[in-house]
Amino acid sequence: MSKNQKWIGLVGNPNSGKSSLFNHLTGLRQKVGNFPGVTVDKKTGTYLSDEGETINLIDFPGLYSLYPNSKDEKLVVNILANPDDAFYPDKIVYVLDPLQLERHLLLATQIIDLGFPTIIAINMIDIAKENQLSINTAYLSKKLGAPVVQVSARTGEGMAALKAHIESKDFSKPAPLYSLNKEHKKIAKEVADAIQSKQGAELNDYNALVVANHYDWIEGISDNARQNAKHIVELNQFDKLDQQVQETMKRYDTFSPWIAKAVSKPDDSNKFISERIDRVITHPIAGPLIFFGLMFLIFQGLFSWTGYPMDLIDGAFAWLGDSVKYALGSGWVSSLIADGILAGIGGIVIFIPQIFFLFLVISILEEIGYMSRAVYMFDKLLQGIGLNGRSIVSLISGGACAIPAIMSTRTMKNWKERLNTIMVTPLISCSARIPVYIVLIAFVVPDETVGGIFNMQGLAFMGLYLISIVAALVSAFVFKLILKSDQKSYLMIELPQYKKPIWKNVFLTIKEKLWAFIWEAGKVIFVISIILWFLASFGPKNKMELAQKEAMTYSIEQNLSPEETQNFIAAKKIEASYAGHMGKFIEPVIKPLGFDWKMGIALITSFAAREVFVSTMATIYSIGSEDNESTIRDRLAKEVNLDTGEKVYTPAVAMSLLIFYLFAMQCMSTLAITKRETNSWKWPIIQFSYMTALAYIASLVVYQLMR
Amino acid sequence: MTSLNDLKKGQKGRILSFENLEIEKAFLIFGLLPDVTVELKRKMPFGGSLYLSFNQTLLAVRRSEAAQVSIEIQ
Repeated sequence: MSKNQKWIGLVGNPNSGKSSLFNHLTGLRQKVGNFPGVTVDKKTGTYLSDEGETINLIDFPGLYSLYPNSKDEKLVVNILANPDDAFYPDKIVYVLDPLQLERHLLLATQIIDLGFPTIIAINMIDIAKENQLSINTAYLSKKLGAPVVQVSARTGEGMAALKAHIESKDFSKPAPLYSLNKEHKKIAKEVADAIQSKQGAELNDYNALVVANHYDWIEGISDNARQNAKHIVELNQFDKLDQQVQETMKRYDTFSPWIAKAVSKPDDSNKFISERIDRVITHPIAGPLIFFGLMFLIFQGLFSWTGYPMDLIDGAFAWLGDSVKYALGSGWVSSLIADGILAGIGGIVIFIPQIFFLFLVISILEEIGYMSRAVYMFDKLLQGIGLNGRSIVSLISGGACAIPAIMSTRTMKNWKERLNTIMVTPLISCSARIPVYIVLIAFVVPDETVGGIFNMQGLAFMGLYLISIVAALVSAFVFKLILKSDQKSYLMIELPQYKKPIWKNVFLTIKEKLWAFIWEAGKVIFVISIILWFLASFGPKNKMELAQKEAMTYSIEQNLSPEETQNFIAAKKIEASYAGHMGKFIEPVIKPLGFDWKMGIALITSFAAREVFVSTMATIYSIGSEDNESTIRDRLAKEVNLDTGEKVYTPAVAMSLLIFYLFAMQCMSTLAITKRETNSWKWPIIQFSYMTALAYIASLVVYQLMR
Repeated sequence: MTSLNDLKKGQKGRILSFENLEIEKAFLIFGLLPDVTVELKRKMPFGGSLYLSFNQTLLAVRRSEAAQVSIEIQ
């Protein structure tokens, strides 16, 4: 992380194939972390050169220019305009799309003017060739004053040449391309003076001009320097918007003639194909229908195609638990491992097939370019409820996990729309709710097929997703009425030309997200499983022993079978445990919703993460019964009220629980992200309160109507 | 003034100027410069967004955004 290692930065416009190039260079040797203090993904990676040297690469989020509005892009500018930043690149590989050469050169020339040793990598050269595009790289290189290489992250073409430039010890800075006018030069000089670089090096003119444009938000300058910059800008009546437009036009004027000379006009075959596809995909009527059909298929698939791998995992964990018990005997260690930790972890691992499937579909849609079409189609509708077309990306991703979904709002420029999206996205049923749904749906809907193909439970599953979507949209509308903002709202989104997915990209994305999910959820579940096991295995003073004795006496009196006796004793013991006491404590509050104290325990633990519901049930019931092999669902089905002898999991109770988990904010990680993204405690608290209130009221209504 | 918003489906127009610097900056980034010829490919109903095509770029914009761009219909 220190400055004694050299960073090669990958910079480029969105859709330039920058990440594909990064994936091609680094493969599995990547790390995703956070930049200090901000939640923007920091993707770094390494590769080993032929000389055995480790090359460190950093993949910056895509941006269009150094004068951005969105949070993602601002972060990049913060680093690139600050030579003291720990991640300030020593060299930049500027990635661009040959079919969009002209507009992608805008940022390229800005990067060169910041004084970075720059390599221009013209990516997707295979597609350029298909479109009869030929580029005179020698000419462009001479004009830009930087090496220009043609590569393809898809075919690997040109990689050797690119690597040679990356590894070269030549760190000479290219000559500036844009000359500031007198007035701007004066401002730049004054700002450069005001901001003393820690290393003593003065900012170059263009760098100082960029800082002058962004003095109000740019990081890495002292408060004093910021005040001085403000003073300079005001004193000189610096009109930044005017400067930005002037500069942009001047840059186009400079390089447009170069392109006219160096680049043959491509045929429109690629664009033509994309437009042909869009004639159907974005058709005013067919488009939305296709979208909903696609979503329907995804959720049907999610429910019905992932059964087999899930059964395998289920079996594996049951076997593992038995093996532990067999190997370690029946002591408390074996109980902790088998009933606590393994049962808890197994409860989450089993849902990996579904989460994998969801992430797979979402990243393919993203990779081929479908997502921005959805943005185009639903902008008006979403605008009507206080969101933005771009919110659709968050809402769809929210179906997998609210955390990356909330992070994806960073491309939105309007704060009110962004905040609204953040507030309602956690209502969309995420993959952590899937486990709960799967366990409980069976108690409400029979496992039957209708119309020959559609699984009834699959349809109910779809129904739950629909309810969650409607709830999110209605809530957004309510927030629209509450939130105030007069900031302008923009759509303006590029519809990238369709391309075949690069599978390496898809699988690296899934791997990254899946791992983050398992690791984040796994940590919480691991700790909670141990705490729960303890709470369920021990009780205040001698209450557990007392309960056991009483239960034994009762069993003998009632002449129960050995199995019934065992279950009865186990149930009475858990009731007397710490966990039982906690559940009983909140029982009065949740009784109107139809929940008993055992569900109460699950509700308490689920406030950390909702998928803990299943592992809690696993922990509670595998302690409550010796029968470790039966799945949780079968176990719940057998559960009877000890006093009345009736089944506990009636359709009304199960439905009420389902509705509660559908609406309630039970995810600490999401609240933490909301806190970081909104930079205040206010919004996560509001989010938690409104969702939980919604859950309580909805469950209450459902239970009282159904029972 | 004729604006980008006045284009009918399949019609082309040449960009003349922008109503203000903010919208100009936003469009310039996508390479929509004065003199560029734009085609309106299609629009979403009920005042929904426009699907524009120019050079090698496909761009979705709101009608309110398009209304700030003055053009000459071709």
